[in-house]
Amino acid sequence: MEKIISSYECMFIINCASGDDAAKATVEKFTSTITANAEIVEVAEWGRRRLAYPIDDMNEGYYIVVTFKSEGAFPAELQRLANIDESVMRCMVIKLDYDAAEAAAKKAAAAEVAAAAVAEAVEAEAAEAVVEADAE
Amino acid sequence: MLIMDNKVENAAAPVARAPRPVTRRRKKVCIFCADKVEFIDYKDTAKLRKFISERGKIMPRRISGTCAKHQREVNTAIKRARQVALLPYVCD
Repeated sequence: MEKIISSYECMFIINCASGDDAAKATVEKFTSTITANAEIVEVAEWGRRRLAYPIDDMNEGYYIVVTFKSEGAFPAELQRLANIDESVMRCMVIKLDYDAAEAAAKKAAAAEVAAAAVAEAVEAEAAEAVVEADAE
Repeated sequence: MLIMDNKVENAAAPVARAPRPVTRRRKKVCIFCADKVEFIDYKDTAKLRKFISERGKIMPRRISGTCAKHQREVNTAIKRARQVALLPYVCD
């Protein structure tokens, strides 16, 4: 049977009471497990953030969002591992109903277009300034 | 004749009552349909905050004006955001 690959997004909240370095070590540990079992599309480290409500009497957490593509059995395993790990305060894995890789590519393309537009606008402004200077 | 007159008056009475003021509110348009949003992201707390009350409750459709399909998606997005402490369950 052919393996079904789908896109998932996982958000970890890591305890940052023992410093950001300890949190980063946990991040490293989980990203390596994910790379070993799935194809990572994007890793977004939000860093330290205030929580909307205290979890385990903590008001802050180190946020990380990982988007990956894998088989159906892996997300459950990842959740299990995160629940075992003491330094992970919260972990949520959700299934994306769109292709994460395609969405990321689209986002990058849009950013490029926006950057090009900004560059063009700056150039146009510079040209205008030159024209004005000439008129004077 | 007199009786007949009475009848006419009675029949006219309900019509004579002041008509109820007709306040036709403009129909709200679902902002997700207007923006052609495909996926409501639970990480976008700034947008989701518009759909929760001051106490942290989810706004009903009759107030927010979202369509049924997008209201369902807003609901899951808010509940996901609550799980990961991006939005509060309650606030006072």
